[in-house]
Amino acid sequence: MLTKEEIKHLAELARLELTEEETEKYQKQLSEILDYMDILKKIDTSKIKTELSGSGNINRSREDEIRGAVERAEIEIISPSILKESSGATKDNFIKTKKIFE
Amino acid sequence: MNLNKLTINAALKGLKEKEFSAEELAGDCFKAIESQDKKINAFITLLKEEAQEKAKNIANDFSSFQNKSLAGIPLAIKDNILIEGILCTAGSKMLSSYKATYSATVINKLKDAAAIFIGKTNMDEFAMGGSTETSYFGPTRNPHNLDYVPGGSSGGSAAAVSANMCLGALGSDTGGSIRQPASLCGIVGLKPTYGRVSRYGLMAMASSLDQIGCFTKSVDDAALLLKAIEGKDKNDSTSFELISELKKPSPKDVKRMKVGLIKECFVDGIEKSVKKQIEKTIKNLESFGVEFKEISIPHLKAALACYYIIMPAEVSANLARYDGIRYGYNDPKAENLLDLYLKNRTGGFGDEVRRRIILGAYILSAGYYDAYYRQAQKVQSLLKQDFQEAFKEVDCLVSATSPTTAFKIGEKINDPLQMYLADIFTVPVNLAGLPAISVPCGKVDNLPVGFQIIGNLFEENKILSLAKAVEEINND
Repeated sequence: MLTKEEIKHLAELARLELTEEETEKYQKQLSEILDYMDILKKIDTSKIKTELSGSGNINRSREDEIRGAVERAEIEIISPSILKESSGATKDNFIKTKKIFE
Repeated sequence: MNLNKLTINAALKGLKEKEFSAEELAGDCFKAIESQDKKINAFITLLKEEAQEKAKNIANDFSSFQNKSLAGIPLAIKDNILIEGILCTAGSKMLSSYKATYSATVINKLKDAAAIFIGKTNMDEFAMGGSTETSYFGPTRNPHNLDYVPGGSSGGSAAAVSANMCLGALGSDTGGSIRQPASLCGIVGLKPTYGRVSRYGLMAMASSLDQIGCFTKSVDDAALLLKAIEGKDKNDSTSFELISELKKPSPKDVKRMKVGLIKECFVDGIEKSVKKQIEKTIKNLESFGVEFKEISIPHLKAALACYYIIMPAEVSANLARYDGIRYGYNDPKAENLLDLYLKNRTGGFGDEVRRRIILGAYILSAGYYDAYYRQAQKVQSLLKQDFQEAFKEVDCLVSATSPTTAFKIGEKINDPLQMYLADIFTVPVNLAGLPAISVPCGKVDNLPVGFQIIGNLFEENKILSLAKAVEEINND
């Protein structure tokens, strides 16, 4: 069973704020879900090598080249309007946000 | 004239033979939307002006579009697939005013094929859910009975096709999000092999499992639509060079086909009436010369648990990017940077999304990583081996798509585990990266039942031909 403190800690790590009620709700629901996961512990996986990619895919690399780049002029004309439309706060064609260093 | 009720193939023929124009075809789709969508709520954004203009262009100069594979065909697009300049919300408050800055590869391919986009469809928030009830824009309703869910997460796309508001639609399938709503809405839903269709421009949920696919009214249409969107893409390093060409599905190809009945899918958790309908279909398929045998996939019973570890782990990482600074929900009351993250994410994400982010954060945290995530990946490998063993003996595997028919709106929304169990027959397919299709096979109490056919990697031709046989039984 997950504790309330664990739920609060996880929410903080995930940058979410929970009310007391939500904390209790998630505590109950996530504990129930994790109990269901116990089925996995009963499966013998000793013969499986510990490879990380369950997908079996291998890395594919390509040349790092510039392609499909928007023309500089186009960026200067379009992006301030896109920025203004999509972000909460802008100033002089820049996005405004809170101070990172105090 | 109700041109909106046509299949894609029938509409292409009608357009070619000049029985009607692309404008009339799109016009009938919008008429259907106007008369029905207030009740069904399949669409988040309608693209009426853009669609009408495109349809007019095609109608005025049809000869120059004639060789395009989808010239003038009105399609709906799930709202987690980007179309440049168009609102793309993922069914979330977080992105309720976000406009896409580029188009997904599948969108560019459909544009090249001269298809017409009529709107963006409703979905569970960030594709998390099995009922389209978690959408910020309200639930979509099942056209067969408005008190019932259409399934999810691509419920808007499924309902739009089922209610003839478009001729076909795109969706995404991470654990059944195309096949389950197709089943519940009585249409064809195809989830291609992982890597057959580019994911570039699809909002990531669980990247190792996500796959774009299509909803159609017929199996032939599914093959046609897949052909238009498939192929390797330099912008998606997990996409594959195609090794087999799609053929026109033919029931003749199923003669002497060996098909496995997944033993585990006929025992627990399936509603009796659904099981009966599936067994009836299997019996009818024998008359096409299909040879059935029972096949066990021993690790199937652990697949759902495995999925609900791997998926939230990837969700918690993929959704970390949404901070509301460059785009997305932005709370002006934030006092400092931490407060801004907290307020924007808490205000922007709904209940189910938050639940999965927290679950993923737990699974990936030190001390639990080996017990959950690593163990789940090992079980995933075992499950894949089970499928590979099965495909040594049979060409395809079959089961019900969903253990039940559509359920009532509100019935499962407060019990996440019950909602997750609705995915029990579909998630194993995503974990193994396989292609699968849901094709209608009759109704129980006036609600559709879906028949799931699973193929080996890149063997879409086989599942499409078998699905075509099921369709012929159903049409008789």
